[in-house]
Amino acid sequence: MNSRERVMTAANHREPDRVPVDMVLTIDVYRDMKKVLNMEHLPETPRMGRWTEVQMPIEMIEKLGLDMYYISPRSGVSVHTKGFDDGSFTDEWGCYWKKTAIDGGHFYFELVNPPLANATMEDLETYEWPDPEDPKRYAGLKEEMKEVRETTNLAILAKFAGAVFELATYMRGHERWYRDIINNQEFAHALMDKICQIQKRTNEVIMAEVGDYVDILRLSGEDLGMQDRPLISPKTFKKVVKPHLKELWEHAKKTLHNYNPEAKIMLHTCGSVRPFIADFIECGVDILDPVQPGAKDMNRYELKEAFGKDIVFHGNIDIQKILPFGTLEDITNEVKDAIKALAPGGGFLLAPAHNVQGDVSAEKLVHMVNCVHEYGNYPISLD
Amino acid sequence: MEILKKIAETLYDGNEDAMPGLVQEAIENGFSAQEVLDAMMAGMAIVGDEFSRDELYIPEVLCSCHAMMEGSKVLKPLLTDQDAKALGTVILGSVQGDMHDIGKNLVGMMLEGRGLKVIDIGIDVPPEKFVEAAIGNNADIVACSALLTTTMPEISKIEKAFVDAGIRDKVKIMIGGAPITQDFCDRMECDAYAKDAGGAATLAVKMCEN
Repeated sequence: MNSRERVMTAANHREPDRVPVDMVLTIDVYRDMKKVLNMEHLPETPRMGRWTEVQMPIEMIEKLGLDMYYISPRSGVSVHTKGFDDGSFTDEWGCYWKKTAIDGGHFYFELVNPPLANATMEDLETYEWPDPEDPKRYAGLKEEMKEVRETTNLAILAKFAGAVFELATYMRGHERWYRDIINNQEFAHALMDKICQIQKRTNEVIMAEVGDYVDILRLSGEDLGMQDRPLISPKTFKKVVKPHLKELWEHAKKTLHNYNPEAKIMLHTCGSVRPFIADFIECGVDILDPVQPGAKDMNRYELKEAFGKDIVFHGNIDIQKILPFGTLEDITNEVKDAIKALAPGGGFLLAPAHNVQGDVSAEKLVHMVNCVHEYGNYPISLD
Repeated sequence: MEILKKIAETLYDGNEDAMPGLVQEAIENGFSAQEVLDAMMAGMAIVGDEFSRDELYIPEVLCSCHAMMEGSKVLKPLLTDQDAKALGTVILGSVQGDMHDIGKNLVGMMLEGRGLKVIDIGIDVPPEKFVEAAIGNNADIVACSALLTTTMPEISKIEKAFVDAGIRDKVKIMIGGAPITQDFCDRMECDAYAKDAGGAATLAVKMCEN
């Protein structure tokens, strides 16, 4: 069984030959990985995204023994798009990403000065929104995906579908937005609808270009969970937020299936989100990512029992304690436990529960993958 | 007393727009500014407790905090110096390298809602700024927020900065943020860890009362 068959078998709730494994590295871990794998010839900074995640070269994916090639859309360009001397930038939606140094010489991009912080309903009409037809967003994607398809057996995960709720949070600012969804719902609906319509059209345009190559379409981050509870109440989710997400996700799936009827859609949503999982399933989500193991009510055995027949789990290897601070033995135990809980019957794609940050050594990640190769073979037989 | 009850309920419901009018009405009905403030703080204590028990969510709590702020604006000019005397002073900030502020702001609003004076020194705050602010404001507590595993190490630098400045025994260091645990707090030799904003307010009140 090759990587793509392995991923798609698991994504169809059947048992492949072994549990598929993948990961996304941020820049510092990538550089460490080059050293550990003795691949110093690889580029220093392969296409870095706004979370400092890099495009892992095919050669590294194959040497590590991973099963998935992640691909992100290119940046669109609007009147807002601007780069600054210190490395900070404003994106096409007008969100300002400040380059911020963190301990150990790393950096991150953090959102500050939300563009719609003081906006009114009228302002939403006159704001200069990104153009969904912008061809810059998919420039070169087709060639890259064609190459991956023709020269490898990797599954292709496309991070193309944009967010609604989370993007509204960026544009309005967290505090203001969370108050909007309670006390200013007319505005909240108007903003989410505006974003949703742009995202729908963007999906149509990009799928027409490269939909044939997409195995898994990742719906962009709609983080709805915190560490100890959901970010918003189930009541507010159902009444205010879900209608917009349902509209976008159903449209994304339908559009994707016009080009590849076998493809799956994956929702990325961090934290404690258990009360929403039935809603995600109802909205057509096939795969849930990252199934954050340390968050409240996200016990992997209970989730498999409650939802395993209807949704596939992706991620689930702890990045808050075990990968950064645990020993190699802790990592072995984490991988074995995740496999034992989630892999039986298929339906599990193992990965670190988010982009791996600079506080995790490449050595630990190599060990994590080796553990999957050792303990993830079907039929699963772990005590 | 009906109006005070209504104020506490409105605060709990987070109805920011209704708050100033109700506070004004209570004052016109002869209640003192302190009585109205007490009613609001009682409402805030319920919000904090329910949040700590995972019964409330951030958006509702934020609305309650903003309702408190709106009500306080009406009361401020009416409070005497004696009334306005705070239970204690807290320096609040997100550690260096950490741009996250919603948790910090929520803690700040909760602390104010429980009668503490809060000096918010912002995000991305280097250790020496925490020390400077604590000395300059004669603070009882320094509250540090770290939301990332990569910014957690800043906490030990802050603790050390207070030791180096020779004022570690005069200030309590309270820490919080998603990756922070009681165990981490103990290892960093900090004084208190709170898992959420409601817990932070209860702890801070307790530390200032002692």
